[in-house]
Amino acid sequence: MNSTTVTNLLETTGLERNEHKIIEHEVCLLEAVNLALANAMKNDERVVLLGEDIGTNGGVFRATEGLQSTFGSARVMDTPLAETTIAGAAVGMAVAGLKPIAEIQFMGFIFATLEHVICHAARMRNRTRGRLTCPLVIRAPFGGGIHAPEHHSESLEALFAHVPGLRVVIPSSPARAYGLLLAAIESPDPVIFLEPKRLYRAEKSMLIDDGKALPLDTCFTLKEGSDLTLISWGACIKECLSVAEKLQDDVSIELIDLVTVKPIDFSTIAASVKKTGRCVIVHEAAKTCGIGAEIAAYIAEHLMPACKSPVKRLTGFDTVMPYFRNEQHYMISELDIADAITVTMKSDF
Amino acid sequence: MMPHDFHSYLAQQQTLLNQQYLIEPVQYLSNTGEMLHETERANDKALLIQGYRWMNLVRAFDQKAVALQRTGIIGTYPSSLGQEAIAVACGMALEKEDVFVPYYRDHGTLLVRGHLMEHLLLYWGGDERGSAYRAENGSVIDMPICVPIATQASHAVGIASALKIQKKPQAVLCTLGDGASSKGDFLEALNLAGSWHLPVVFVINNNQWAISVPRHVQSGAPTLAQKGSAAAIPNIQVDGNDFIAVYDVISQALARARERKGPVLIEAISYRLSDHTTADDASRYRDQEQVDNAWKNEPIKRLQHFIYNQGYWSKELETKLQNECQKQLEEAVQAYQKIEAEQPEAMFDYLYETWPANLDDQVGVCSEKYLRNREGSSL
Amino acid sequence: MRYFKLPDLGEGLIEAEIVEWHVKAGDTVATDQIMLAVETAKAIVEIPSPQMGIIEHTFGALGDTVHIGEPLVEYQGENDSVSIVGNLSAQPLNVSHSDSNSSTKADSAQKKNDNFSVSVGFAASSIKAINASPSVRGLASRLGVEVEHITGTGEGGRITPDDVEKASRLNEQHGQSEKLTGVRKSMAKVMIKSHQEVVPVTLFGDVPLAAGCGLLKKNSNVTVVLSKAIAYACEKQPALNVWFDGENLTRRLLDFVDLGIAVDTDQGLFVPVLRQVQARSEEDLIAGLAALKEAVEKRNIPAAELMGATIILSNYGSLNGLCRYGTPIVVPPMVAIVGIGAIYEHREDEKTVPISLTFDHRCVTGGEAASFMGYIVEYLTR
Repeated sequence: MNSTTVTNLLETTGLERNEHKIIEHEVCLLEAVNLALANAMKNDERVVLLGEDIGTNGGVFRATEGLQSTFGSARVMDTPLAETTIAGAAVGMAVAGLKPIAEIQFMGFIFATLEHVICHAARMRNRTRGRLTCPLVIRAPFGGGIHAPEHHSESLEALFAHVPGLRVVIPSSPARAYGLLLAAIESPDPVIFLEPKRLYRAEKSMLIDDGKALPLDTCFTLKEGSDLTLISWGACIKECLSVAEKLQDDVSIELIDLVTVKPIDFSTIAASVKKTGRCVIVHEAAKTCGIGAEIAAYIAEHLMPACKSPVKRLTGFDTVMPYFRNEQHYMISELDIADAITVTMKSDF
Repeated sequence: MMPHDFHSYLAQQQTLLNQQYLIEPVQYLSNTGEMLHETERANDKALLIQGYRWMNLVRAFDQKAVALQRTGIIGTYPSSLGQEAIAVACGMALEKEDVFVPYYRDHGTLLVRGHLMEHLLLYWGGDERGSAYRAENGSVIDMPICVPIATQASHAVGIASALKIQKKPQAVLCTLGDGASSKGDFLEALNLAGSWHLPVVFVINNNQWAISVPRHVQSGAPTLAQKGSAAAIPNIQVDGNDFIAVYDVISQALARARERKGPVLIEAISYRLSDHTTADDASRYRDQEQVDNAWKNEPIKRLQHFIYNQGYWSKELETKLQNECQKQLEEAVQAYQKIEAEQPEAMFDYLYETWPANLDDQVGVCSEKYLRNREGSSL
Repeated sequence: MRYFKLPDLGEGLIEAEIVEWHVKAGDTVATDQIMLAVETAKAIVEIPSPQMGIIEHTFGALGDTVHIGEPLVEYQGENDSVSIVGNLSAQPLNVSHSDSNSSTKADSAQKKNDNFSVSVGFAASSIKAINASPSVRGLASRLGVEVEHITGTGEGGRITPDDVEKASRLNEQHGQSEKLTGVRKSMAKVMIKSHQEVVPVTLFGDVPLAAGCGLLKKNSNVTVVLSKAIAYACEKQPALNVWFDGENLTRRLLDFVDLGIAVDTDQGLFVPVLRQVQARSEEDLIAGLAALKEAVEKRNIPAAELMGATIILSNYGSLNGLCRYGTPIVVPPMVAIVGIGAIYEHREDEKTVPISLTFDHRCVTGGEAASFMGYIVEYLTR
């Protein structure tokens, strides 16, 4: 598998390991993650990585490729197979002054970390009234659509979003993945960074490796429009963007990438819905208690006068994602999104 | 070596395993305070007196705390009655910059580390600020009291890893109960400590009871110490009520860890002379006779006998000590009662470094709610 | 652009109230045509259209509060143009590795521009940040203390509960503090800057006025006469009519006189600018001055009319008959300010006007200042 990784770049452009040159790349989301990790590790010696298969193997998705050989095995640690301890050790490391980035191989295996994430990472600052803090990042690939075995397609961002003291951040493009991961690493608070695995290698776009973080706690507007506000995050952004472009002669769609799923930037959503009056929310995760419900509740509480039609949520079913043979019947397609938009445009109260 | 008979092969294995652990736990003092084996520590008058004084103060604090709970001044409290030797030995064996990772019954160690009694009372009285202070003799990253069982073990190995990465010479001491030794966190932490050769010492306070579950139900293994073997961690049992033995073993294990010779698992055998917490009634599941027998092994009396017989201690010193303890306790309780509760909005202060503006409206709701409640309005 | 959003109004202001719409959907607007008026803490601001176009839709009714970044007007038919954060160039600069293997992916490689803008929420919330935790804010609100008025003594300037309690006691003993806003705030900032930079020297002089001189004539406008005197002096002694850059140590001699006129109002000190005093007749200046004063009183003076003065006239004598001398403040990049006190009777039938001329000694010598004062006197006594 070939990709624009740190190792390849260093070899082919002849740069010294410690040379700080700003490079522009055409990369996919996965490579952007790799570049962000390398940048963070280069500029801050407190940053360490831990997880299963992340060292020698460079991670099962190659997110950490080349990092152990560049930064050494003291800072890029292969752990035994023990998610609970990966999270717990990360808590301990963060308290002790390091900036650990733990990789959980798939979101489907993240549940063993919940006790440490919820009881400790999210609470350490509160419990000690600021004496101790827990600036860790837990990264995990999430979402379906890659024909993976069972437990490899989970979308449970709502679980984490519900926990006080956590941030949940979900990128949807290489440039955003790069900037947001840097922001997550810089953050003094714990961050759950969920990477939409379906987008890992889907598309390449340009990225400047300048070490600049993007802001957290804010939405990004990907497309301005006036007829309808389309809100989504993660892999679904791909389909949303495509639909918005295809329909642009008929419907002027404003596409908002939520990005920080907790705490949600409602100002941007409010400004948009005030403008358009119609809102469709798209997420792959199951319907009940999904983040779409939180946004719909906010709109109902604050923006009813502006609404021309009810809010529409287009979500996964309240089922386990089918194994790959029937996976397509669960995943949200462009047709589904276009349908939801059409229905919303036509409907009134 | 192919066994012809599968069952007898397994039976042989079992016997071998059990034989390994028939070694007596380390012990120097009998339960009546007689010297069973020679040790240099017996001549360390200062050490023994300091240990004795601390154990008495810890017990006095502990019993006071139970009384405060019974009079509604603090909340549910887990007594450490009968386990003072383990607590004090841990505290005295730790160096200031070592990192202490406790569970929730370590009041003694926290006091030896230099925490103020009123701060411990703050915690058990339901005020988060109890965990906000750095102990005078403690590390800045000493962990707070840990309620989710055994999760502190994972934190301990994380901190030990960090010390290694940062090339700091200190060690980590992690305490846990016999119940915790069943939990995944503990076993995973042992595994990681062994695999990564970490500077951490685990001390199991085996006080025989995990609320109502007795030791023999908690695990089928003959000892808890042997769980270390599966992680290739050297392990040792010690009589947890013999201050000299516990101090000896823990301080040597910590020194070894500081020398980067690797982790150690210590099982200190003791008995929980009190209920699990003030919310528990142990008479529902154990006989008073068992408890009365256990009192014969308690740690303070046996050290007291020893230091009296060695001529290190006297009746006058004893009276003076008890008076000092009571005085310290009274001052601490008064100091505690003077501390006012935090502002209600304090619940928002420490979830993030800066409370996100996106969620600001909630703070306003909290303030209004407080005003409404203060005015005493009701439905 | 398709959407025109409320721009950054500066001065830390993040919102404004719509007070008047001048356009509606369907109207055609020209560039710079005023579309609406909004009121901020500082003033009423008229907002012009940044482009020519036809209004498709307006957002917000009279009385609505709009935040920076929220849309005001939508134009017909324009393409979306997003303020870009992630729009990166299509040409790679340094990457020279071979692509031969990466394109074997079945689902790989479409080069794309990644456009996105950081949205409203972030901009507004970052401006709002006050360095006080929620519990401190809660305590402050219960004690009736304004958190924005306190300097924090905690780490990094954080406001502590002690700071709040101290402020509360001060409020109890001495009454509430009030935050300076608008014009008063501007004045404070300008004066602080002046004090930090300027090296002021004030020359005091008494000018005897002959009967029949311009200043004493019945229908003459004192301010206008003084303006002409200053313009005369500037022509003769141009060293006091310059713009001085204290950092780079350069000065720009000016061949025109835009005279700032200090006007005291209820809201505070305004200094509108009377343009090209040297070239205009007295009648013209009288009319111009009246227009400026009216605009100041009505609070609709455009910001442009308050900028660009080359020298200032402060007639504090007109405020109080007892005020004779003062040490008026030089405002960079100007180097001089002429203060005029109340005309008094020195002796019977001999009226005198006291002049206080402050100059910035970084750029102006005493000799230059003295000769400048002399020229003023010359004009007034001719």
